[in-house]
Amino acid sequence: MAVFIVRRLIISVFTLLAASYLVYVGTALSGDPLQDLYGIQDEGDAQTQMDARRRAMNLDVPVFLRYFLWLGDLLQGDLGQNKFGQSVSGILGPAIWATLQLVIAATVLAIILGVMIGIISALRQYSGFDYTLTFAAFLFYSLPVFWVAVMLKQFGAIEFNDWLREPRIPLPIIVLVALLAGLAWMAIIGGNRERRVSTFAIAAVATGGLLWALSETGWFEDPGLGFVAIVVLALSAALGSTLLIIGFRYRPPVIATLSTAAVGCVFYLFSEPVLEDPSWPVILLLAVIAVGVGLGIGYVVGGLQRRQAMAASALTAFLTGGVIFVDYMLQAYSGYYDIVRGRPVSTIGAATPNFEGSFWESSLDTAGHLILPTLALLLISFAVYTRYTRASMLEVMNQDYVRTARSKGLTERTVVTKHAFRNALIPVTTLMAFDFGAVIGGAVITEGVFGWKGMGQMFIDGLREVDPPPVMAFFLVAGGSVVVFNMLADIAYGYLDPRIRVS
Amino acid sequence: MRTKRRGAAFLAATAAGALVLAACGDDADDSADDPVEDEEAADAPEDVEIVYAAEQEFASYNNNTADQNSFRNTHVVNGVLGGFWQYGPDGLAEPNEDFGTMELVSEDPQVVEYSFHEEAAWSDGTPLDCDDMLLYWAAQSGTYVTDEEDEEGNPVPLFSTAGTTGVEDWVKPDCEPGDKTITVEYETPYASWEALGGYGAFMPAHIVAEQGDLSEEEFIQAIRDDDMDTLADAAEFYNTGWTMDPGDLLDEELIPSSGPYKLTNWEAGESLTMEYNEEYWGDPPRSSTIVFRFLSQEQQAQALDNREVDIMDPQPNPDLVNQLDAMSGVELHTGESFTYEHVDFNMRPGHMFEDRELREAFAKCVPRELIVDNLIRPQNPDAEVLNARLTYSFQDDYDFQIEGSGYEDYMEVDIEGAREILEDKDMVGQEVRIGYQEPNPTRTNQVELIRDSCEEAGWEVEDFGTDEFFGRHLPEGNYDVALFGWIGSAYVSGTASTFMTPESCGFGTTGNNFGCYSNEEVDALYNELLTELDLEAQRPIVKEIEALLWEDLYTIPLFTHPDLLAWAEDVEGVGPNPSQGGITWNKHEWGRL
Repeated sequence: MAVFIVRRLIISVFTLLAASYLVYVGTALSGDPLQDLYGIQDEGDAQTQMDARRRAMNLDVPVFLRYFLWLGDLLQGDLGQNKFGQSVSGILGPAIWATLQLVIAATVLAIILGVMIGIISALRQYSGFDYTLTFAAFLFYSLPVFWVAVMLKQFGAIEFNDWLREPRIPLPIIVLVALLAGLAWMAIIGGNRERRVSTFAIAAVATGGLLWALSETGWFEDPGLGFVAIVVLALSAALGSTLLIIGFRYRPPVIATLSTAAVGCVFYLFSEPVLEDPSWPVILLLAVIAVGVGLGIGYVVGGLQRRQAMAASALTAFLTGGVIFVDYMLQAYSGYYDIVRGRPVSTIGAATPNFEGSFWESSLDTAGHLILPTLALLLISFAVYTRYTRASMLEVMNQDYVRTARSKGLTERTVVTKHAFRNALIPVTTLMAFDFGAVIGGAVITEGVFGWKGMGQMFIDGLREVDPPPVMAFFLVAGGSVVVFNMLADIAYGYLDPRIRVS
Repeated sequence: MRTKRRGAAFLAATAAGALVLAACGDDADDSADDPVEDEEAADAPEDVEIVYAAEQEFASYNNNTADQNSFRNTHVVNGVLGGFWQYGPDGLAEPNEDFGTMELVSEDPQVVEYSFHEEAAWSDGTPLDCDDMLLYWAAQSGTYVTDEEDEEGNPVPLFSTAGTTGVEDWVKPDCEPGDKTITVEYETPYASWEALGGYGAFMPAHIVAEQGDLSEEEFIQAIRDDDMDTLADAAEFYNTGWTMDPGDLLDEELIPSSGPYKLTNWEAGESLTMEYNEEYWGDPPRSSTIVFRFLSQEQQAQALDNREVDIMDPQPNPDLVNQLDAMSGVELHTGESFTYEHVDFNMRPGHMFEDRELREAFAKCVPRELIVDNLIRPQNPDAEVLNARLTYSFQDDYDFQIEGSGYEDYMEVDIEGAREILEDKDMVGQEVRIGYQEPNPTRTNQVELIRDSCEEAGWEVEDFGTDEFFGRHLPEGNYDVALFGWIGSAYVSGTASTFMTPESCGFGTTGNNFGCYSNEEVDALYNELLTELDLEAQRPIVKEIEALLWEDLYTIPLFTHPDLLAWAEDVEGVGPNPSQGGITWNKHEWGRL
């Protein structure tokens, strides 16, 4: 394995070197770096500035040799300067940070949602849900991202913010959303005709009623969850975790998760002093404590199913904590609304300049800035993940060992989560590795439309200015990460699937 | 393209030119909301934040060096570094008496007396005085040159500067530490002396000295002694020390303020914040905080609609104008700028356009009215054909300058006349290559319109747009007709190098006179103009030059480039400005209702 990795690395270095030469020469020859200095009517001034630019950029050295000047600096750890004399490493740092902020949430969410929905869609193959999702996936996948992004800004930010001034949902919209929700749940849950009809009715009425109540009570002006909603959500989290991890056949795990949810609700009642204005370390600490409490309850109550009970309780604790977090954020909303003069969803940038507010208000600010670009990125990569997961899951579900598992008498839940799911993830894992590698190169268009100065913008600006050093820095980071993640994918593949392990 | 050139050309606007129109400096017929004058100056600004959408990210506190001189810095430092003048609403320099006064004491020899305001001081408490003026001279006169040479054998200056125009004519000034009044004598008379020493010009010499391990006295002494070795470290800091990486704002001690605002926060790629400089001795600005939000032009309109920015000044195009027009609660203003579009003939030796009659035959078929109507009026309904090269149509002096200049002959397209000339010369079907820098859709469309019209007259017009036009073909003289814009200012002397006889007609030796136009009378008039200190006396000279240029038909002006401003309706005090200073010229007057 070590030999394999070293060999891969050496080959990659040479590939990168050769490619860097091409990129450098290509960039340097792509236009005239003095372009911005033409048109100065004062001749002496024009001359002075052009001379200085020529000196700074070594324009008198032929391009093919200028590359080696750059390479020499690079070997000494210097990324050089852009044509305005700013150090490229100083530009690169914030650019990488911006890109990571922008893409990490989107990528992680796309993976989680994509895999989840892909699996459901595979389990309900050829159902209405499956067809709808297939259609939606192809639709999203083929939408041009710049268009989606501009539309999101128009409707998700500008019009939505306008609507928030008087947030009442008109009745036809409520009815429409309710019907759609009914259809979706009906397709997901499936079953015979009678069951479908009842699912549809319950889901539609529940959704419609909830929307109507929220709209009528002015919830959108001053949102929050409140104790009752928290209890309901915590209990749902408990039941969901149990269902996912062990099922309802044994009682101890159920008791464990329910008790965990109860502890969470009690904590909520007394959380005010801790959560009034916390900080990220406090939140992280609380998350760790919550998971620890979950594990503890599972350990004590779990009985024979101790291991599963601990996992399910920990998950319950984490989700309940998440619900409480969201509740606090929503409570800060009306204060935040006033600070940003009634426009909480933004179209550009990562934060409101000079924003000063409580922890919750700052979190809302970040959320309000991230939501649209995340959605834009999500829609597209999510589509890819659902397709991959669905295909891979279908393939696995038709394997002999799955049939064997079923014939052993295992429940369908066990077959899916234990036997099929893990194997179905193998090809998706490689996809994730590739995706992360590519993502660090920046989402050029999304960054552009949402006004983030990330890696993609650095590259585009460098190219537009005919300024090789920033372009090269981009290339090194983006190219390097593709190489590294490709290698990780190969290694992970060999690790997950013994059949293709490299000797 | 234009933004960048506008930025680079800022210096042309400030450091060059004769103040020919200063006499007519009131903004009588400005159609936009006039900037609101504060009736009674308050003691402190309102606690309000105004957000301006800036396309390019700030880079340096020192906008005077060759590599940093750029619009991206100009529009920031104009609120932070004061000067003896600032742009007025008409794009002319207006004296800024808060900062100090400059006075022409004698005309022969030309002597100017600069007096910093009694209370004028950097925000760290150090007074603005002698050392700052000496630094200005040392850095911008180009006097100090190191022993080093660049690859082409040109000496490398000690202090990097984007231009030496004007200051290079000074006799080295002298003053004692702490002097607030400094007298400057010119070796040769320099007509646009009033355009020197504007905002951004005076850098804190005490910081430069300190960074070079010198005291203020030592620094002054080193300049007196022309001691370049002693100054070396200080100069090094001046050249590079104020250039910042994105988000990496220098410590407050290194970037003191001499204007109404000081820089306080910079988020890389996002925004730059300037807040009220509490040490500012003049009238406080209206709003306490101005934020520059860095945002590409394509994104500005939606950001304004969502009120994430309050003010924007993008390059106009018809779609954008319509989009902004349709927004509720957004004020829109279209006006004109000091940039004009023109066609130039190639008059280099041996070229067919040396023949005036052929130039006339082409000039007669250029559909100027049609170009304006089709391409410019959709953006600026009030646009008119431009009939002058040294004066802009929105200036008060314009009518005086064009009257009787001979422009009337080319108001209407005269296909018949053009064809007659071509037939006389037996040159029907003659090819004309119109060169311009690509990509530029507006210019491509202009060439189309010119082609349609001139082919009727018998010319064979070829669209010769390339992306190497400015870099290669224009200086090489490889074109018949060139189509581009000049970025000018309210001052005319910047145009000298465009119309005066060049040294020679080789590659890159023609200065701005790419077509190698030469007329001894014009040369003589420019020489007179450049040394004429009396503003009123300059006007007839300009008029004479204009008439000669129409007579010789070296260039045909087409139109001034439109300017577009949009701002949220709850913001007031936003005023257009045709100069390269741009919309930020009066940011101290921006306020929120």
